[in-house]
Amino acid sequence: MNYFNLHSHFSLMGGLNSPEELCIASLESGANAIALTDTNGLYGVPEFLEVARNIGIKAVIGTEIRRDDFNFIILVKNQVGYKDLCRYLTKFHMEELNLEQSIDELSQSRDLIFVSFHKKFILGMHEAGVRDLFFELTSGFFVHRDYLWAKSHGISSIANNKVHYLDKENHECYELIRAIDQNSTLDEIDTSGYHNKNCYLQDQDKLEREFSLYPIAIKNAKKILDNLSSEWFSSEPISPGYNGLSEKDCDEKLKKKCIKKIPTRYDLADKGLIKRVYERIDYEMNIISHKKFSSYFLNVEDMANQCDYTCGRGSSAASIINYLLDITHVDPISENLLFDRFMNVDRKDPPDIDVDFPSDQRDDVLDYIFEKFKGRAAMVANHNYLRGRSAMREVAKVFGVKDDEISYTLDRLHRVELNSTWKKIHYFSSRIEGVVRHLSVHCGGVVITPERIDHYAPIEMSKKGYPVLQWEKDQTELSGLIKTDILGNKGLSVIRDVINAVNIREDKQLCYKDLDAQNDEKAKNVFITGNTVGVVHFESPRCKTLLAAFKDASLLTLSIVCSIIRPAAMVQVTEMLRRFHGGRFSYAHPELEEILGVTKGIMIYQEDVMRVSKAMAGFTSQEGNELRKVLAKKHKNKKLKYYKEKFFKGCWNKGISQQNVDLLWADILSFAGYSFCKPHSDSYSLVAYKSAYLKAYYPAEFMAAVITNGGGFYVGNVEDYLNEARRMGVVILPPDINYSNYDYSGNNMEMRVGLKQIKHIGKKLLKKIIGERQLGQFSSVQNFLERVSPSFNEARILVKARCFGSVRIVLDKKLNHTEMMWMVYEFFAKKEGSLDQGMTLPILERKIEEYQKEKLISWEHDFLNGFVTFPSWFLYKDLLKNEQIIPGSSLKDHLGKEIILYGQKVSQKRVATKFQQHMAFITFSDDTCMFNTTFFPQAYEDCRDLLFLGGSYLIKGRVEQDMKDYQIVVSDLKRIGEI
Amino acid sequence: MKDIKRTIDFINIPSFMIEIERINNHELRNRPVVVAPLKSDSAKIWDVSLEAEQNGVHRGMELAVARKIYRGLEVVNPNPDLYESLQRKLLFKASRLTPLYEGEKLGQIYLDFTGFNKLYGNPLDFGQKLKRSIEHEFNLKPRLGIASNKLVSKAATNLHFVDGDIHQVLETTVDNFLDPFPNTVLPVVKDIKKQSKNYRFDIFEDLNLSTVLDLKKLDLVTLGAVFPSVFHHIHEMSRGIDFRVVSPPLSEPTVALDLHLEETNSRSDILNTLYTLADKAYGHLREQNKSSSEFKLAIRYSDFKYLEKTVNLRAPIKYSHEMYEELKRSFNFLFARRTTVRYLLLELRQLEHEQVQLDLFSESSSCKSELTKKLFNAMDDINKKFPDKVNLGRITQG
Repeated sequence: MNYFNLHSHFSLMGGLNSPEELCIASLESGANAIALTDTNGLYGVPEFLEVARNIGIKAVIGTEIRRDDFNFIILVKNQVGYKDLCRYLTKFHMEELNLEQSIDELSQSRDLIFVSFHKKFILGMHEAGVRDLFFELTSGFFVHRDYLWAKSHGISSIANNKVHYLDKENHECYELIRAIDQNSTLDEIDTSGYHNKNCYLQDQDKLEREFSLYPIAIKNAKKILDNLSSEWFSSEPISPGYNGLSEKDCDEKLKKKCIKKIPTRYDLADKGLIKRVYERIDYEMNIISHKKFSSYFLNVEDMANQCDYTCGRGSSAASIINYLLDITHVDPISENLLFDRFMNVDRKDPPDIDVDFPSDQRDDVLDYIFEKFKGRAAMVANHNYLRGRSAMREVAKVFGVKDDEISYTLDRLHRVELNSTWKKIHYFSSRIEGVVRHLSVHCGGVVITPERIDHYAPIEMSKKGYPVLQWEKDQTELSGLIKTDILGNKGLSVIRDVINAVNIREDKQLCYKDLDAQNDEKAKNVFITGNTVGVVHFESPRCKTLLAAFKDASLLTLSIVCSIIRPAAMVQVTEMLRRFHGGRFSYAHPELEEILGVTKGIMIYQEDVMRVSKAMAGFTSQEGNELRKVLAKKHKNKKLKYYKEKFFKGCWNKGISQQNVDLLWADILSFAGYSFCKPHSDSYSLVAYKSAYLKAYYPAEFMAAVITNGGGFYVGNVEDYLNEARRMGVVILPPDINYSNYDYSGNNMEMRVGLKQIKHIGKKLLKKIIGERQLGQFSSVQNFLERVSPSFNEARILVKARCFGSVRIVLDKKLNHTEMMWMVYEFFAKKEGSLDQGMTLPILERKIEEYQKEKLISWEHDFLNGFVTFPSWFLYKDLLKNEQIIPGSSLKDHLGKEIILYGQKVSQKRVATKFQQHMAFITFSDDTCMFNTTFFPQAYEDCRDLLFLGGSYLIKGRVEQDMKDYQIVVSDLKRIGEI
Repeated sequence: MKDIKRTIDFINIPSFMIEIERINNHELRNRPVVVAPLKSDSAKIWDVSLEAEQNGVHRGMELAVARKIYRGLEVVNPNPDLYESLQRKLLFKASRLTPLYEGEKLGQIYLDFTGFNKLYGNPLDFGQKLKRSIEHEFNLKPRLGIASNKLVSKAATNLHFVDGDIHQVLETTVDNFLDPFPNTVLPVVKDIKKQSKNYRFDIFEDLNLSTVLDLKKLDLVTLGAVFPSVFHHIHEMSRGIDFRVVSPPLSEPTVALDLHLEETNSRSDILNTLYTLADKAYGHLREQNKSSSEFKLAIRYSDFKYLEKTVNLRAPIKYSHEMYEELKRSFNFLFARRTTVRYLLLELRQLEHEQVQLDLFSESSSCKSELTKKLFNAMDDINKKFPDKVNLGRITQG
């Protein structure tokens, strides 16, 4: 008997095992064909087909449709049936089809097989003339009654072993995931429909014994999959097509476009260069047309053209075609970028072009894509698995553990002894790990197909209203669909906003694409000094330190910095700096000089692995790429062993010494972590240049744009950016009803806080304030209240946020904030009738004291979300006058000495030592600069709790030098207050 | 009629929960202690000792933060039943001294001794006696405020005591006594703040009125404009005038049974326990020959969340099975989370004696009811004879 009703963990909390486990177990049980019928979708089909092919068992595609009131299994006969099923599943999810609609829809298909125990469905389909219809017999009390019923209606019966988990012992786990899914406790699971204790993979003998009275049902079960297969399911890349042109026409169009654009990118006078350009175009075009990807490139160009501020990144930036189409902005010839990393003849998986857009414009681009390719485009999904702590949390909830205790215990999992309940939770959660919990949407992956997309895969609708595939990126790739990543980049939004602000104010017209920031000394100086707060991709404390240590701002150096701080290459930082500043080194083989010369013999980029393996061990481009991919995978040991042997053999043949081979292999192994390829680093660096240029020339506009767009590395902490602006000499002005825009705005060296910074004030009111102001400025508090009509609460908050600075003078008297608040109360008292219209409160007559300064600062902190116009050190200015407290900018004068500094915590990175003790690198800022500190394990243990609380500190420690940067090794810390 | 001088005492036991815990565990004495749910970082602190307060920990603070502020903090899991039982005992003691007593919060009681001078003597001397007797009887250290009204007597316990933890405010000094106090000493201010808490709205902070004196300075027109509904109260109370009376709790006969469970979230298990509780409660009721037409069901989850529901029954009920459906419905309403339940309380209210007059149209005259009655009576007899040994099972409806 073959199993035709298997549920894998892709059944979204309806199955426990992976397709691979199901395939192996079925094969061991004597089945030669199986059908995966995950609930309401084909969530695991590409993976299932792949593993079944590898294991050697015939795989059939199917699904089990489940709603509260009906249930049936669909098996696919052929490609036409697959399309019918995808279409039906799409409609099922989007239109929530009921039983009658499902029967109408499915009865049209002659290429599907239906199995169900639901009599209404069976009768409906039978009446609609469907021939491939079976009545499902499952073991139980009513099997004979059901058998007779089917027989009386002339419908064949089929014995079914519904499989939701492999072993009988896993029933508890299955119940657990059902309880998690239904948000209930174990004794309250909805058991209707498909919940019994026999949903495990039963052996053939047992099944035959169980259905021994119904041999025909057993026979049908054996036969049902015999005539079905899924060999027609292809994983060849599916070219999306372009405006109805044939792929050949697309090739021609693409090449013509590229050649036409050569003058915009290259100097035609340089004949040698132009020759190389043509050669490179030919080389790339050959591969692209061979793989039929021209239409894909044309489509991506069209998408990128929807916005002036784009940054094509990833390995695709190594392509001259992308460069000429303006998708990417790095010249692959001058930067010697390796096209093979992006695409090569042997590479089976489809290419993947990533394009960044300003984060707030990304949805517009997506709208354009889904409008243009209506019904032919969808976003890629993410499968969210139950893993680790998330699994424990869910299991604990089912067991009734209180939420607080769950968080508490999970935070201390390895530090506290677990009681019996938690031991049970731990046990069960480890057994349900890997089950797909739900679908979400990939951050930017979009696929386009030549025909309707629901012919290729079932589609669901995201909350945002975008169609989403049922597959995540790996399975999308396995099914041959080509993904483009449409991503949001705040850095581009910042650049756009600064350019717009400057272009409106000044006559000169800045243009993103023509901004020659790479050769501007002032822009370069931003990197050399490490003052890169706000500069996209380069503002982390580590980056700042490295930039200052390199003291160079060439594209090469920026690319190295951008890549070397990623986990894979991080270990090389110190050695890289040594070599960069003239330290001696030698290559393992003379040929490596050509490959790794620019990076001083150190492997920094992903393609270095490919190039080194190719040059030293004779790998092909594809093998090199495979090795790179294998390194990044979790379960890599088996495959890696193969590549290691091949690499070592190749190197020995080349005559490289064992010691050097070991060193090279160790370098390659370090790429197991996250790393960048060079085109990606270069692309980021180019955007960073532009960002730095704008920071150098338009600091107020730049910092205003950074804050408006939500910041970068120091996200969510406006104060850090405001402090940076202050240190650059920018004056921060409070929000004002007469002068503030909606967002932060910069003008020369002044930055005005935007009205949107005020908490608890609706967008509608803010727009009204700005609109009303067009008719004339507000003259007083009353005038504002009468014209804008804010609510009482909104008016109070505006006073507390100090928005009435421009209307403070009344009858030659400068009102304080308390008096303005009384005016608001007077206005509303009259409005509500608790004060007669003719009467006034004695506000100006009696002495009303201004709020305490601390109170005003505290309100600013509350209503403007941080210290905005008062820097935090304002509170401690008396303390800072103390000579013992050293400013952060003068650390180099105290090298080796123990000093005390004032600091506000900016960012923190906690790491574990090799003895599994925690230590931390923490950045603080004072009124002069940001400075880095190191908390070694003992100091960190002593100060950990205080650091958690945030606020301002007095830091005691010794000044030391690391990578040419001065930092404090902290010995003690004191928290001096909070708002 | 000649004005009678009022004498109101206010007993305040600071850190009531902590003090109780310290009685149970002597090692907690003189140490920074807080009462808060353990195994929770986001839990708020219920009560805090003076030693912990001096280190920056305060009531309502998140436990995780408190632990970080002060590492040596001792945390005790709350024991609400114990605190409430001690409060009941204190109230009982108060009821033996004067008929006019009123519980405020845990560890706080008003006692009205107006006209008791001849019986108890000088209020200050009697206060000393009262304080000593509480110390002796409960091992707790109360503070005592004595004044002519509730407002001032309570405020008096907030003063820093140097000798004896008792402060008497004389009639002549009442007017200016409250001036330096923060405005929250006035209950009317507290009420206003409580009402506007959800809107981040504090009139007093807005208008820079932080002390009682600030409020006292405002004229009636200004007060009327800003606090239209309570301006008179503010005007009076800021001058130490308070006419509120000390009112003892109204007591109504009830039958109440509660149970501490093994923590569980199994609905069927809890429901079964609840039915058993109902059987017992109605057993008590029948002993008194009464019926009940209202019940209150309360549950406490293991995270101390306490929920209750009161249900009016259509007719007075004497047998538990008649209210199972209602009880189940109420329980399902309260038990809407997956968190384990720790405590159940069933209170039968609105007790009535059985009607002696014959009701010709009532169902109770039917044979079936008679049979049920006999059966229950028999069960009650057996239960009485073998209180802990017999488990007769439940009679289901019909």
